[in-house]
Amino acid sequence: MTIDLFRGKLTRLAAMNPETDAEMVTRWNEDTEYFRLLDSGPPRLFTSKNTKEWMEKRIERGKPEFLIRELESDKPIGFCALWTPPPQHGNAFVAIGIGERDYWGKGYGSDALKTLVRYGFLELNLHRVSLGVFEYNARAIKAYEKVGFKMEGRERSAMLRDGKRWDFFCMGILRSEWLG
Amino acid sequence: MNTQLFKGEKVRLTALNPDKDAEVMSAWSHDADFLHRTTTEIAAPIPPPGYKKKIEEWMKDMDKNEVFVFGIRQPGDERLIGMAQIYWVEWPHGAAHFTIGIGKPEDRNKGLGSEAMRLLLRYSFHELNLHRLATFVSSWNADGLRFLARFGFVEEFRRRESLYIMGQRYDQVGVSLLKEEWHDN
Repeated sequence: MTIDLFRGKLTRLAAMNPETDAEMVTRWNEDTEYFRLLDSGPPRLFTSKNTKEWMEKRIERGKPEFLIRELESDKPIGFCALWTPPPQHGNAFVAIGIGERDYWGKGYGSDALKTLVRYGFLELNLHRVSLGVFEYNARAIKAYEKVGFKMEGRERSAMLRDGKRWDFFCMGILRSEWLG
Repeated sequence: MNTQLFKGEKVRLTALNPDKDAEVMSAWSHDADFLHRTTTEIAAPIPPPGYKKKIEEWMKDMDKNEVFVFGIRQPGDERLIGMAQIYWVEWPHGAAHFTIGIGKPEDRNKGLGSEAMRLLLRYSFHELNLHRLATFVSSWNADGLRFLARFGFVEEFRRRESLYIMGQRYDQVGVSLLKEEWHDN
């Protein structure tokens, strides 16, 4: 009965392994164009060892992450995660990033996100999935809308980057919307 | 220049005392309504040692300028009546979030929370030099939304049905005040 829950059309979700993946994640994080699309915090330079420890701590705190692998080649191309703070409300937040630039703008991100959202609704039995996205990340906003996320408002001028103020958009998809 | 950041007429902002205040805060945590108004965590009463530990952690975070915690008291009275906290400070963006609460219902609606809020805003915009201050309110909490609207907070987003409380689904409402919208009065 169980469908292949971790598998999409272009990508599959796999385990993130701090032992083997820390170096790759460190390399992704050093690409500040990637980092500034993903994280509102200032990019900082860490060693693979620091990254490995951070990844291990997240697993300890119950915040595991999936590795996104391209189906055809099995190459790791990014990460994604669902975080439920706190759990009784049935809401989770998405984090997703395609670290390998060659895979931007080709549908890999939305494919992985579709798989992650399905996991949230079918395995975690969520009522809704939330995400935040930066005003200047047009590519991601389009991908999220394609997956079915709706705009729910914006945190005004929440970010100051490159001398300009930007809004932080809030999006969400309800279970009924995903099923429908 | 108004240099009195912590002293108002009806309230003063003070340090939290891990030994004495933990008892009071533990008492507040036995009021589920208070918990539902001030946190989205699973409501559960916490014993005084739990709050002692929290207060000590907040002090450590305050030492790193990550959090700014205030106990709200009345002038000449040591009794803790409320608490306010500025947290999630994003210095590069000049943005932060805050919480504020008056522990006992009988201490509310007397202008004490309002004056604490005014002091908190002055501290945020004139001392921390923030550009924006934000908080979250549950859509069922009309008192909270009304309180914040009086200070000019603007509703920015509704995370639809993201809260499940007492058998019903509510929205988490995001509100914020930008520095240019704030008036020091």
